[in-house]
Amino acid sequence: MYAGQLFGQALVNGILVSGIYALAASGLALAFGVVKFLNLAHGEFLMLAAYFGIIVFSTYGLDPLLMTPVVFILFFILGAAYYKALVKPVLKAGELNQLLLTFGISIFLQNLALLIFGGTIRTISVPYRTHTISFWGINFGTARLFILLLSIVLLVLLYQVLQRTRVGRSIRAVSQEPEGAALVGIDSESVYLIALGIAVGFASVAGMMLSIIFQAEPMVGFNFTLKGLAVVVMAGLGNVYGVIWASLLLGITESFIGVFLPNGTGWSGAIFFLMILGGLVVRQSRVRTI
Amino acid sequence: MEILKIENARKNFGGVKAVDGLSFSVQEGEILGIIGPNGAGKSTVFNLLCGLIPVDAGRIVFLGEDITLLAPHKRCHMGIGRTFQICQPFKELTVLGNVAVAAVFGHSKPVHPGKVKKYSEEVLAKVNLSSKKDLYPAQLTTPDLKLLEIARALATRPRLLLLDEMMAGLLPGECDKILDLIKGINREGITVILVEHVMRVVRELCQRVIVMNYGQKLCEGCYEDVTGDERVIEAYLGQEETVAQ
Amino acid sequence: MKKYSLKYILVAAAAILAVIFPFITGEYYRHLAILTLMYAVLALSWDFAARAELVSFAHTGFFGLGAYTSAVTFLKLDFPLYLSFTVAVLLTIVVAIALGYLTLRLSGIYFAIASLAFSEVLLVVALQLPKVTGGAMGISVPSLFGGMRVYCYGLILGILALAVVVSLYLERSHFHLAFSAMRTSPSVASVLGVNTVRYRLSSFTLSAIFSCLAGAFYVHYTTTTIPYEAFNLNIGVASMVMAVLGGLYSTVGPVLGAIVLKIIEEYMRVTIPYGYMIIYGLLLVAGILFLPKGLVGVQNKWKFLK
Repeated sequence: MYAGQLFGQALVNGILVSGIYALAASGLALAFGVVKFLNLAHGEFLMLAAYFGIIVFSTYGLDPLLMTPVVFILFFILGAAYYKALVKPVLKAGELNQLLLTFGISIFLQNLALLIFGGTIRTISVPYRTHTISFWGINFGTARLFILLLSIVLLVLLYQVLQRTRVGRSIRAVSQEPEGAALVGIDSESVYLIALGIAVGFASVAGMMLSIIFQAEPMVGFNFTLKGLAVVVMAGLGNVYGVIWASLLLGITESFIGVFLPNGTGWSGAIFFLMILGGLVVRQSRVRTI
Repeated sequence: MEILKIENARKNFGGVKAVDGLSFSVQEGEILGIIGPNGAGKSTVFNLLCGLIPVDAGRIVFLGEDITLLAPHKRCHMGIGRTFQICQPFKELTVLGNVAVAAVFGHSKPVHPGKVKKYSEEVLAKVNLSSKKDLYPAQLTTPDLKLLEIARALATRPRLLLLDEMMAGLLPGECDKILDLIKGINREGITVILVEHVMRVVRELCQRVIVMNYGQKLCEGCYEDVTGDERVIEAYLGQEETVAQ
Repeated sequence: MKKYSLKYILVAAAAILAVIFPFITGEYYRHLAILTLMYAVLALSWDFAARAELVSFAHTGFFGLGAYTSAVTFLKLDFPLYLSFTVAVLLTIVVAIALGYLTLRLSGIYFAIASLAFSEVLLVVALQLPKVTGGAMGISVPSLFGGMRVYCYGLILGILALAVVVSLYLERSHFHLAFSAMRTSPSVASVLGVNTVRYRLSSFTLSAIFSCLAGAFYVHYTTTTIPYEAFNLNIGVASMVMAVLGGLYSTVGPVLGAIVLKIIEEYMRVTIPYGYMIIYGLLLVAGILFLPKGLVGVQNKWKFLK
């Protein structure tokens, strides 16, 4: 492989993986932007969905990608229940409590998964898992391509819902001007419920994708929470629209560092943390008002 | 003597000019009122003066020293005290503890650690809150919370006191008590700037009034002059807090 | 008066028990007690930061930093034990102040995320610099005091005693007023003259120092560590849960929490493998939902002004 090809491959790999990042992060951004709630257990829903996909595939042979609508609805309900049972009681209790609560849930679910499924890595061998197509000597994994396309479709759908539907307008209104929204009669309670439902639903779709192109293991969810945070921080906290370019930046940077730095895959793990630190430190120059 | 001078101060929030080239000065010992319609930038001026928000441009001079870049706590040590429009008591501390924070940290020459309690009690006595010193802020009524705001500011031993809408949410009788309190504070030699919507209070207290609109100084003068000014009446038209209150 | 004398009797009894404990028990309980004390130090250190409203995940990083700095200086530079601890603490102070300044304006969740990122970056650095740290294979040091557990116990008890003294000072001095004020509103506190930067940095640095000491002790006591263990988020989480459940912003709370949770953990470890981390998660959730003031509750009346 000559340098240009290597460069192209690294770029393509980065782009292909960014769709899944964008899906995972957009849910996090939505919950943060609308409910003003940082859900540290976000990735655990993704992890649960990945295991769910694997179990259904190994029992019934159903392709996870075909199941996405059903899984989305199931996890939407799960997210709504999560909001009712756990999020709502701490919404007014302050940030420290929210953080510790969702972190506790995250630890609980991680270790529950560890107890039930064990620490071993699980994958799904869908027929097209290793299939690739090549252009100009650059390989595109078919599964990854599928997944990128599906992510794009879903994100476009989300933006259309946010822009054009009544529900979407309510969501944006609550996110931008909670008090004003209440004045014009928007029920913030149901908006929160829907936003968290969508967030968890999107995480579940990302989880299904994960089970196909990566693997499921108990810690994978938290890893995605962290990467999602990196994306959300770079996009501007709570900014759902900025998620796309931030995901691309994360995916491509990781890919390039993995390819071009000596022992790069090890360092690429540090990249998103540096992005979080850097992103936050740059953004902190906004001055707090009372 | 001139105690405070603000020169050509500007502050933008996003595209909004909250304070737009504002200049004024305050003489030691006077009570200056700042009035103006909602959103005129009055509270922003207080935030600029106490340092919670840095100015985008302009200069602030206090006691002959340039304090434009000084942090809030240093301005407090120099003698600028303030209250907040929405009372912000420290909810984990008792009334006495709230005042003790100001007593311990509020001045460049701190109160002797052994005398903090006694000093704080004296300040509370001054505002008539002694009987409630061991209560927590959640147990206080609105007028008492306002008194606590004043007590905390006083405990920092200020030379200049910024009072942000002390009368909002109070009944007329309660206003009178605070009015007398402010007069007493001023008589002790503390200069006062107040932002106020209740015009009766402004009329009774302020020797001089600045009217703000759209972040700028609309006019300045004694109460009768500014309230008779046509520009001022125009600025207030359509506002619920009419001058006739 | 009566309540106070009872309190002092309890404290004195606990102190005496803590001192004679290793002499009246066997190796297994000594080992357990040493780990409990180490966690008590960590829980207290986390609480130091929490007092200034900093939800920090950085103590995981400082624990690992302490472990690795003292192990590396001890092994590769032949520093004596006390010097390796000192170097670790000094490095920690520098890093903590730098990180503190860098994240000065971040509050609440933003600070929490940044501190988490900090710890994870340190983990990657430890993994990626095998020449210094031994990489993923880890690092080994000779056993502390030739494996004499009684001395180890003495050392960690000493560190805890130091942490308790610091904590009591924070609780009874002007620090308490500044922290309480800053927890409600840093802006209002600063307008009333509190140098919030100074108090924030000192609480964070103190927290870092004790996390570092716990880490440095840990590596010499267990004689070996790998990055995934020294920078393991679970260690940080456990100490966080101990502080929350025991009672935030107090001295007794985190220590009590460490003792209670370590006993539960040990029981769980024997009965269900992996189970104890589930319990930590559950306890964290239950604690936040049902017991927001922890086992001891915030007893403002004990502190300052009385």
